[in-house]
Amino acid sequence: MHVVGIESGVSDAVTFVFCPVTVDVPAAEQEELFIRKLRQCSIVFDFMDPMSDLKGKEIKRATLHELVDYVTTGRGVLTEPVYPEIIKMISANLFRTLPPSENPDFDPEEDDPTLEAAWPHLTLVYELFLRFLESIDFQPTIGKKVIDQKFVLQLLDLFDSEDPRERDFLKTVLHRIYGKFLGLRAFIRKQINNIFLRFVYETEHFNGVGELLEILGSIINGFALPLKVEHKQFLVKVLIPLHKVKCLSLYHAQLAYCVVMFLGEVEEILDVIEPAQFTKIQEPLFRQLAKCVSSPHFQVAERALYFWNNEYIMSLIEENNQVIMPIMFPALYRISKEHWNQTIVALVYNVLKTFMEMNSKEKKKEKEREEMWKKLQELEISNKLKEANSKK
Amino acid sequence: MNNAMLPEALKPLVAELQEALALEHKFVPNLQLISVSQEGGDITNGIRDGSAHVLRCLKVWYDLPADVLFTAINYMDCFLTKMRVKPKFMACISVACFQLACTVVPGVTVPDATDLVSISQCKCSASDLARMQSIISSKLGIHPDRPPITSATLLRLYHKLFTAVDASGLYSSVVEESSLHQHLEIIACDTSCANFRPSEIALVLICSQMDLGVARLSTPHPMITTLMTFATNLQHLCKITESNFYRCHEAVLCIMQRYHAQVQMPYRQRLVWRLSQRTLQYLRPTDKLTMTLPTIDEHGQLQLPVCARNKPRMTEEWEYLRKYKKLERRWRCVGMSTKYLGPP
Repeated sequence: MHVVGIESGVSDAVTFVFCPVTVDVPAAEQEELFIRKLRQCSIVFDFMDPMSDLKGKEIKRATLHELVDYVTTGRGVLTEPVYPEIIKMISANLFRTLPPSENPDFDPEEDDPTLEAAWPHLTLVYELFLRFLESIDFQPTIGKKVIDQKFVLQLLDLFDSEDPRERDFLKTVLHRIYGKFLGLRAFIRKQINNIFLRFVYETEHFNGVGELLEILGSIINGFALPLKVEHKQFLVKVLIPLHKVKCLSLYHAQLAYCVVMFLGEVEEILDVIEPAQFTKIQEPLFRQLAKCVSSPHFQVAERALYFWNNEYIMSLIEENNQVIMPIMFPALYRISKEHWNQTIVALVYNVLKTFMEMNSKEKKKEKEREEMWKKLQELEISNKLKEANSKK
Repeated sequence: MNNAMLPEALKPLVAELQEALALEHKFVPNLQLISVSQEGGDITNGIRDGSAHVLRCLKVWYDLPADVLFTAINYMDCFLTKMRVKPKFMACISVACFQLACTVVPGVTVPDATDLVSISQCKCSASDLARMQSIISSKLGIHPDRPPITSATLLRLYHKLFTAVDASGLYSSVVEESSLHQHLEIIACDTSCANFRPSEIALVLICSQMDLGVARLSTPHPMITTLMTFATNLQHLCKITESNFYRCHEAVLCIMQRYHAQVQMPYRQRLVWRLSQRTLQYLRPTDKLTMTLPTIDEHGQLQLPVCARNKPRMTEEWEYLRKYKKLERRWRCVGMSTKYLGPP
């Protein structure tokens, strides 16, 4: 059987017939056949209407599947003329305006997504794209002519897809592109920056933040030391602001959630911090922690108090007790007397007990711990008296 | 010390002292604990000391006077002298002694039993504590009008006496009262001094502090001898033998040495850190992270493992972050963290 001619651009007039690329086909013809099949697959079908063109959709699906196998197992099949054809086919299928979300408050973490109707084809297109990029025969020097900045920009737009399967593919695709095309790296980083900044400061909506962050994770892991200024700036200007996207009042559940998550991150960072670095940040850190343990939002207080169950952090605190204790004690004392939540109060007791068991540099500091606790009690009493007097 | 020779100011103090000395023997325990238990069936020195430290923390927590601590430890030691108990009851016993001490020391509000159970993590119920209180109370013949004579009682008396005879100001320049009491608490939490008389412990402590203080003086003070003589007179008055004084002194020095050498506190309580379910779920953000993308070297091409080329992309290898030598985290895809210690 041979391929029948196709009317391009008119989806319901397609009647192409399946033709396997077998080993009998001579090498020269293989390339031509490959290209023709790629062009066939550039026809996009309408999946919004489930009943239309069932036969054509099936033939395209089978062809795509065949092409995936061909690229995966074939040797020497990635000749130079084939590169632009593959990219054209991919562009035709993937680059589309994403439909507006049915749910304006869609949360990629929580809500059920609206899935891509054309997935039976899209998944194979992505698969093919990946096999192409990952092939041993893939040559970035040829590839860079067709995978350019414009292409990458369109790819990045797709990260806003609600379909997690699509985002997952995109994540791997972009990862491979970043990995293979050194010339595109700075551009990709800049574009991701822009997406995040728009997300933080303008739209507060983008579905692909998680996936982009994962790619960044693999990039950051590979950073050479010392870190370039550009990368440090990225941390300060982009990554940190990402934490404050939900700009709501302190007691809003989502922001509290973010604070709890952030405290978890801080603990993980402290896990690996050098003692010398710790002393540089300890004062602002514990001043903030003192506020957190005093938070009326019990989860925030809980998570902050739990820091004291970390052996390594405890050893750092012990070394610098004379600085940290005066910062923490007033907050701890106040909570022990006032907090409404019994779990929190129990955790404060644990923290006190831990402080008392500490092996401090000067033993007289221990006396200071107890005296401070007593002084704080006196302070509480005198404050209450002042309050009572001022009300008169 | 001849009563007739005493200055008027000292007489009431000495009378108080003699009263205390007369009653002292009723409250001296005779702990015979072992240091290591073979099958874990006996109370060891360590278990007793650990409990004492818990009581010390509770005293601070509830803002209670030091006498509560000394009384509680005394009850605990006397009870352990009379009864052989299993380690699993130790927490209940020590907290019950604490409650009893609160009823006996004047001006103290007994903490709420439920609160005490929860905070101390003693793992028994409020009614268990109540039952234990009555057992201990009847066993020891505890009476609210007869608080025990503890080393704190004697220390206060001695301190007043020394201050009263300290015309030159030498004593107050070398001994600080709050420091004395602080050290006394540490001594009370150590089994090695549990069986000495309170009068012995208190006098030894003051003498040790004086020794240290005097040694730090740049020039010898003319009144040192007078102070030392007074201490010796007190020792005779209290009928403390030389050998007892010596043994007690050795034990106290040993404790203070360990304390000042910043040795890790042994017998740390295994604390239960109870968290809400919601916080447990999000303890460490990266616990839920599934890393599927291999690291891309900043200056090099991405090297994909060969196996990744032919496999479906879903089953790629883990990429571990191993730059940091202290990192011991597990990168897993789990819902809950396993950080919760202890029963729910």
